[in-house]
Formats: sequence, C-alpha cells, structure tokens
Amino acid sequence: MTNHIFYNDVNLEKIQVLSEHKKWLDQWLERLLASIEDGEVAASQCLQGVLIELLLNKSMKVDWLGVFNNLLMTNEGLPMAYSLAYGKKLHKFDAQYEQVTVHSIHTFWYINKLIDSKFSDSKLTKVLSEFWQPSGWYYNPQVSITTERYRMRVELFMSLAMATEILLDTEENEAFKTKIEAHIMTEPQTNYLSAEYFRLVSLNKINKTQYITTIATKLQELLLACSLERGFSDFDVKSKVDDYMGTAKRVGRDAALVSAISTLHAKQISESLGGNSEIDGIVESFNKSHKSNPFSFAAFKMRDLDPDFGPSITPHEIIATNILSNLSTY
Amino acid sequence: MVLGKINFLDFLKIQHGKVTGKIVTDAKLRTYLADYKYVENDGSITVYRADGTGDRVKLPKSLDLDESLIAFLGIYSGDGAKGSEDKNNKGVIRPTISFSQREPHLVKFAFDNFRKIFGDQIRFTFSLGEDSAYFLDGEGLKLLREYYGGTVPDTLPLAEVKPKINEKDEQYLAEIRNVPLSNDVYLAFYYQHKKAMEEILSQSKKKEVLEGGIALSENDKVVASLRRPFKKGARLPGGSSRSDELHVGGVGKIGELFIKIIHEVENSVLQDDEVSESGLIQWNAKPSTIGQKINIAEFFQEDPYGQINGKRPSIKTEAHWLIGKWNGSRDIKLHKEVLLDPLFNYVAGLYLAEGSTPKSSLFAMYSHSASGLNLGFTSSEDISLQLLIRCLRSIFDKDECLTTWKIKVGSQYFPELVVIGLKEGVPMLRGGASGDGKLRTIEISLALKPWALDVAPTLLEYEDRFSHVEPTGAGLARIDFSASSTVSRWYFPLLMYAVFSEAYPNPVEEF
Repeated sequence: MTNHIFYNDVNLEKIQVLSEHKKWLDQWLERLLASIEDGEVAASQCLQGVLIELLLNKSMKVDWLGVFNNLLMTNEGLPMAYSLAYGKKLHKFDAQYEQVTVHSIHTFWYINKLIDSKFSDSKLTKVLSEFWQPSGWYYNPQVSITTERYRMRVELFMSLAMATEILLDTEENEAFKTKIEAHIMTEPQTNYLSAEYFRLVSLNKINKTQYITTIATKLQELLLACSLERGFSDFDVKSKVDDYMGTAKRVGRDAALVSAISTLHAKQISESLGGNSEIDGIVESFNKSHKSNPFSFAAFKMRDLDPDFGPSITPHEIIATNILSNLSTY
Repeated sequence: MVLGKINFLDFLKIQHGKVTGKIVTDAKLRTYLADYKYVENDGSITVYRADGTGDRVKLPKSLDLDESLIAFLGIYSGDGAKGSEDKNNKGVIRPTISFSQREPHLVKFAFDNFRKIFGDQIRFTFSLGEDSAYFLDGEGLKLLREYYGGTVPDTLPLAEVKPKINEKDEQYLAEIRNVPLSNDVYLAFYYQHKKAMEEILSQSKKKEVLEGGIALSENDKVVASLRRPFKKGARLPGGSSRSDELHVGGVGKIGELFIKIIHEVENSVLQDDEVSESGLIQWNAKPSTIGQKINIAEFFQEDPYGQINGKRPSIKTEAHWLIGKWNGSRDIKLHKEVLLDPLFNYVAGLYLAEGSTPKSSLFAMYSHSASGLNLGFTSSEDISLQLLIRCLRSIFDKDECLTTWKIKVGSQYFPELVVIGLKEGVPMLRGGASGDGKLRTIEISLALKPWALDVAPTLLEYEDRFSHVEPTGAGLARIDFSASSTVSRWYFPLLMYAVFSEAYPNPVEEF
C-alpha cells in the first residue's frame, strides 16, 4: 500500500496516468535528478520524485534514502527539509536552510515505510514527540517561532496529521488517540478546504470519523463556498478578512483558483459526509475539462498584473488530477 | 535651474483638450480620461471640463520645470492621490489632487509647489485622520483627559449615545476582532467623544502646520477625522494609524490633467525623450544631458549639504573613479561627477515619498549622527525600480546599487501563499513571532521569484540577490530592494541637495 497522507486511501500504484502527464512527470523527474547531482534538493522534491515513480514505474528505482543520507541529514542523523546547496538558492538564507520539520521527518519516514513496512525509528518518534506543544499542535519552534495565532491553519493540521500517523504507527496508544481527538474537536472550523481535509485525515488515523457528522452542515457550507464552475478552490475569496480587525478585504480583483489538489480535498471531505451530488457534479466538470485539455492548470494573478503569481502546474497538481480521473471510473 | 517646461496650451491644442492615460497603482490597471476646454487669456489659459463640471482653473500657457518642481512631481507620484475608481465605470479612475505626508518640510514643499503650479486660486485643507483607538490608552488618552479637565466621562451605553445607528455602524458591530472590550462599547466611546477627539487632533495639526512655516490664508482649513476604533491600522487601545492629507481645493476635475503631467515627466525621463509622448513636457534637450553637474569631491568637501553631522568623508582618486570613505564605513567607488538631470530630481522626490528611510532621519542627519540611514525601496511596478537603480548607477558602480531584494506579501494574499505551498507539497512556515519575518518555506519563495522578475525585469541583473518572501502588512505583493548604509551616506546628501538646496541653503540651521 503506497498511500500518502496527501492522497489518503489512494493506492498510487493502481492509478492510471494520462500519457501527456506521464511525459511531463518524467521530464520533471529528470530535472530533479540533475539538480540532485549538484547537491540541490528539498525533502518536498524527494517526496514528489517518489510519488512520480510509484505512479509511473509502480516502484521506486531511485535511491531516495541515499539522497536523504547524503544531502538531507543533520549531523545528528535527523532528516532536513533542504540541502545546503538548495538553501543557497536564496541570497543570504545561510544556516536557516537547516530545518528539521514535521514534514521532513514524515517524508523520510514514508520513504522508509515503502521500503520496509515494519520500519520504526525511536530517534524520529522521540524528536517528533518533542515537537508536541501544550496547545496540542506539533511543530518545531526552532524552525519557526511564530506564535500559533499567526501560524497557517493548514500547517498546523497537516503537521498534526503527519505526527499522528507516525506516532500511532509506532504504538497504538488509546491515550494518545484521546488526546488528539480532544484537540481536534476543540479547534474551530477553518475557512480552508486543505485544513479541513487534514483534520479529517487525523480523525481517520484515530478512527474517530463519526465526529465529522457534528460539523457536517458547516463543512457543506464551506464546500459550496469554495466551489467554482469546474472545480474547487482552497478558500472562498469573499471570506478574506483582516486578522485583527475582522474587516472584509477588498477582493474585487482577487480571483479564486481551481486547483486539482483542492478539488480532491473537496471530494474526500464530501465523501466523509456521505456524499453530495452537487459536489460530485463539480468534480465531474473538473474531470471533463482536464480530459479535453490535460494541461488546463491555472496560476494565481496579483490583481491586474499579467505574470503568474506562483506556479500553475506542479507534480502534485498532476497527481491529484489523475487520482480524480481514476476515482470517477471506479 | 530651468530644465524644461510644461506646455499646457500647446498640449491642449494638439490633443484637442483630450487627456487620457493608463495608471497602475497597487497592481490595479486603470485608465483616466477627460475632455477639457480652454480659453486663452494674457499669458495664461483657463482650463475647464468640457461638460462644464468642476472648477475653472487658471494655468500659465507654459510653466518652467526646475529641479524643485520635478522633485515635487516625483514625490507626488509616490505620496499623491491617484483617485478612486468610478463606480459607474469600472476600471476608470477619477483623480483628485491631494497629498499624503506628515513630515513638515515635505508638507511645506508640496504646499509651495502646488502654489507654483496653480497660484493663489487654490485653497488647502490640511487633514489628520486617526483611528479613535488612539484615545483609548497611552498618549491619546492623556490628551483626552486634559481636554476634559482631568477625567474622561464614563462611556455611556451605545443606545444612549447613538439611538439610531447607520449601516456602517451595523457593519462595524458585526465584525469580529481580538480586542479587550465589545464592539458596542468602542462604538459608544467613538460617538460620545468624537467632537472632543476631533478638536484635539485639529489643534495638534494646526500647530504642526504653522510650525512648519506655512502661512494659512482665510480660505485654508485644518480638520480632523476619526475612524471607528480598530477599523483600520490600530490593533490595541492607544495604537495609532494616523494619516495626514493635504487636499487642494479650487482645482476640481483637473486631476486627469495633473496626473498626465506626472506620467509625461516620468515616461520622458525613462525613455530619455526630449519631448514627451503627447507633447505636454518639453525638456531643454535630452533629459540625460541636462542639469547641474556636481563635482562629487568638491560637493562632499565643501558644500553645506555634503556633510553628515558636521563630518565629511575622505575622498581619493583612482583611475576613472573616486574612492570615498566615511568614518566608520567602508571604501566605495563613486563616479567623479554626477549630473542632477531630470531623472535624478524626479527619483529624489520619488524616494522621499516611497523610500523606507524615515524622513526624519534624512532631515536630522545634518545635525545628528546618522542612524537608520539604510536605503530601501518598495514598489509593485518596474518603472519606479528602474528609475531608482538608474539614478544610483549614475553615482555608484552597478554592484553597489542593490544589496538584496525580497517580495513582501500582505495578509490579503496569505491564502494564495498557502496554496502555492500546497502545490509544492509543503506547509507555509512563517518567520518571527508575529509571522512577518522571513518565510521559512524556501519552496514558496522560489515559486514567486519568477513573478517578481517578470513584473520587474530591472532586477534580472540582480537575480542572484533575491533573499525571500516576507508575509507582512495587509495588501498586495510588492518588491522591496535595499542597498547598504554605505551607499546611503553618499546618496542621501545628494538627494537632499537636489530637492531642498534652493529653498534651504543651510541645512544644518534650517532642518
């Protein structure tokens, strides 16, 4: 089983990939491998490389653990988010490249689990446990000292889901599950599909998905608010408010973006609520539009400025697109 | 020195009174357009809107462009009002003429230059806007106590203070904010003490205006306006979110023509055209060839503006360059001469408006030791960045002109940053306790670098000096670059000389 927390319950080896996407992914992987030769790599890229190999080759051929051991390990043997050379891509980023994050630990753990399903590392679980905060969240404050009020919700929920997965895999612990359940149930609903998706993942891990029904109505509202004609956005543009003052932002020139990742999140949230034909209809529109134009991925724009504000197409967008396409034919 | 002129009459003749142009502000692309008529008088013209609305404004047939006026247009380009979008015509702005600035010398500078353009027919309104949260604690509360003779009356219930609330009040009450008391208490405070707060602020503003050397005529006004508590800017009781404006009255509906002047000046110096695209601006020759020539060594050895806190740098010659060094600083290569051409003067104004150096530091450096003298500039448009870098290159070697650059993104676009991170499979990790430090997630910074280089191709030469994305402030994404304090010690004296030397020959005594 190769499912990754980003694509919960999806066996990537069984996903059929569009031929146009195969070529794009192959080329992306080639470029990554060339960068790795120069010592430039991020843990996030390793993960994308692994997922691409699982999709295309149904197995890993690249020695990703070797990449970690050579380029992404601290002196203490902990997995880092970035190599030294990768950090140099930013001017004067200096020692800040050395980040041991929940994400880098999870990526390293995931790759190890693919190789050996019985993999366990007490050093990793110890460090992860030390990332636990009294508030209930997991993060490394040495990487980011930002107080929780200002941390992004999806960062917190994603890290929680990752930590939960690893720690429960090490030891089935009812007390730990109860702790996670209590924490999740007291966290207010966010305005972001991604954050709610990862909340759902955590609930899945601790077998407490019944909680979802208590927030079903609000989640349905969020799903509809984030829906667009041909897919889903992670957030409703109209919901942007100032953190402090609560005043609505002027969003006349902000456009919502259909993302395959968000559309997949929407589908999975909807299914956890028992399904919804309206949501399914939008997902189908997404699938149809990508079938007729496999590269119809969009990027944000900064108001009226023409250049893309960030990427349109990435491996994760393609993976999510192909998962959605396969789910529709199940 | 007169470097060119604004040809009002010739322009209106050639263009048949039509004024139109494009403007990009806050990454919003909008147009402005207006039809004017004019009547020729002796030595002047009277300009008015063809539809008869607005004021009839007397302008000279042509107006000399000297360094001061060019610099003022640069300042206005940064701090001046660009107008608001026409509700009935999306994408079209209706420019008004007003100027946001608090620093007294700059306010006086603007005041004098508005008079230079429009003469005595105009009147001024000096306004001070503040978040009424300012009066809830600290200095503001102290002023309120003084006003009431020692004790501020207890806040009454909102229903008593404002029995009939309006739509904006309702909106305010519905907003959720992280503040000590409830919205209705703060709204009651606002209405109960509004008159008192306005009087305190308008008196304070009037004092500042007069101390700045501005003589108010009977037509000029000083007013204050209060925003509901925490509505914009102030986050804690006692917090301030002050905005100072200088509104120009008597020039209603002439905003399009005024904005056109600025654009034509800017584009003609950018393109180095002797005559601007629509003929409004005519320089004495190609802009890059005209202006006062400054001998750098002499300037920093002798001129009153060429010193910082009474000290002067050492300068020696090495081949085609000067090597300059301020005490406590490092060597730097400088061109032997600098031409204070229209570009230099325009950029001087632009930097005064939009540069990150505290204005007070620029005025204080002549009589106090220089601190906070770093050079930083933020913009979401390439033109401004290009002009500033070209200006710096006229003084320094190109490698010195930019040390590092970054992208600042306001909270309105944090959700976008998160999605960009999700596309790369990473969470957005912020920096600093309040999250407005350097973004820790390198992938997101790298993902936005191409956007910045597309928006500001001027930075391509400095591509490798991109440092990070910084989630800070509230608004759009913009590009911020900085140069070293070594550069600023040389640039700022020249900047101040270009803008102020005519009006203030002796900076040590007059600033």
